[in-house]
Amino acid sequence: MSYLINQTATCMPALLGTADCSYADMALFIVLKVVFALAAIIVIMCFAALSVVAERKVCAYIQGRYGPNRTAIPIIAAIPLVGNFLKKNGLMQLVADGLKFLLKEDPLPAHVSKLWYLAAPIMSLSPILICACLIPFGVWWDSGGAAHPLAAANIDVSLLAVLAIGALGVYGAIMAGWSSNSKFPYMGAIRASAQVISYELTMALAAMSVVLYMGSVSDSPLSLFEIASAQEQSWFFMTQPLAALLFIVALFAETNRLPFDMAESETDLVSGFHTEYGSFKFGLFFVGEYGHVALGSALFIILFLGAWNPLPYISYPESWGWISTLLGFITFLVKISAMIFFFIWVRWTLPRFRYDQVMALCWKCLMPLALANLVFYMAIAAI
Amino acid sequence: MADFSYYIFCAMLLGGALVVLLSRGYVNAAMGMLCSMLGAAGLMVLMQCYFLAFVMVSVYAGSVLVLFVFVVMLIGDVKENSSIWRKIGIVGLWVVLGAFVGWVSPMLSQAAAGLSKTTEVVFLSQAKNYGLVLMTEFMLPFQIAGALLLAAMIGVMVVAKNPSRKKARRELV
Repeated sequence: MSYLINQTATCMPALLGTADCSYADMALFIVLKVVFALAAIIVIMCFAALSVVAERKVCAYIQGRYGPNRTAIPIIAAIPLVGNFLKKNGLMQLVADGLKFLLKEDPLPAHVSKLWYLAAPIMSLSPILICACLIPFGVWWDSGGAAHPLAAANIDVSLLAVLAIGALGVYGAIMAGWSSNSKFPYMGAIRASAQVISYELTMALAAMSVVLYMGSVSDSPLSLFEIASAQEQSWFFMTQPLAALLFIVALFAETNRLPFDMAESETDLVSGFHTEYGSFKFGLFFVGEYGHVALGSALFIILFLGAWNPLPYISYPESWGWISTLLGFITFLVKISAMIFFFIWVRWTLPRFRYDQVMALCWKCLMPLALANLVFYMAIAAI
Repeated sequence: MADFSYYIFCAMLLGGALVVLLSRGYVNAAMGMLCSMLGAAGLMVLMQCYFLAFVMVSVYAGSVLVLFVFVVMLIGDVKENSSIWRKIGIVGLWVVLGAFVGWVSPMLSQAAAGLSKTTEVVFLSQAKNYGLVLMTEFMLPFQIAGALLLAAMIGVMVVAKNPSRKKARRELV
């Protein structure tokens, strides 16, 4: 890891054309960066895949059913204990679902606008994968004792970058709705665009109150790593509870999860913006939604729930070295799982809002609250 | 490597602009504009202005353009059938204007470098530096831009205010 930091220092200027370094070094540097980016993407994608199973299992638990517990892959299911465990917990259902997406017929309706119809699933998934590279999953210390984030890319405006690039995912929904050339997807797309623009404001304003506080203690207040490192004592949801509440509500709306899933409300729009999609293209939308949930959870945890610190006022000591790093990483993953469980819990507990209620809630309730919250923390920062 | 990505981003920027000029549907034009904006943001990243690049993505690509697409979808996508001569004219204009900008911009940047007070090169990659410069050196333009935006916002509210409510009240009276 220390090697990578040195490589970054020498190769990054070379990549940008302001310095020289040998081609072998640069090639190695690029390969390492790609490997790290893939690792970050794999973490988020694993969460996306597992939360599909979790959704079915938790939903079944809440409704007093068993959920998927029959699907079995012949040889693996025969392994004692492990096979039965996988079968009972529906983990083999995951493989079956994935294969179904891949192997079913891939329809291309005649009335669609082909280019955007094909591009829309990619546009909805790829921003999430880019954002995954910016999330710090933990912290590690080099031999000098300086802390570094466990992230594929560490830039000093990573919070802004995640919010900006994550917001581009809405183009997937919009273009899917428009290119499908059909009433229900079209309405879903219009709802998605209006909703995302509205709630993005609330989300950014809520995050801004954290940034305001960070501005007084750090030189790069927009860096996710700095924000996470500032929570070794008290977590931000304790000092800024209203901002945390506003952020999580806006997050539900941004990820199109149930109390706010206007874009694909099954009761009135069949399936919303992806009504005309089937097979693997639908699978991409599906994975994109859960990836968005996992990423949003990670963002919320970094901003308000203490990132990789286990409890408020307790953190893994630096002197433990890589053991602390590993424990922090595991803590972060456990927290993401808990957040995903919370998302699913809310989905199967609250009924869907009406569309005008969604808009009224945002503009008449959340926005003024977020502004008042921001002004309050501004006043505190000024004093 | 930097050269390579520079040309890719430039191609995105100019290609997107060309799509905006030539496409028949409004939505295609909006997507061309998105491509163009992402290219511009990429160029800013190459210049290590991360803050500006992501503000560009967040504000223009993430919000303003979504509004454009929203409006286009509400009023309907109109397919314009322009003649081949008009298209050729547009492409010609694109080339001529591009060449003009390419010719002028070195002089402009030299003039700007002459005007700038700071002698050493300061990378405004850190958001804090950017904010400080904005609030000290460029305070007046910043305030004027803010006042303009406020005026535009109030104007939109006045234009968009629902007239039926006033009429209904008048009828009641």
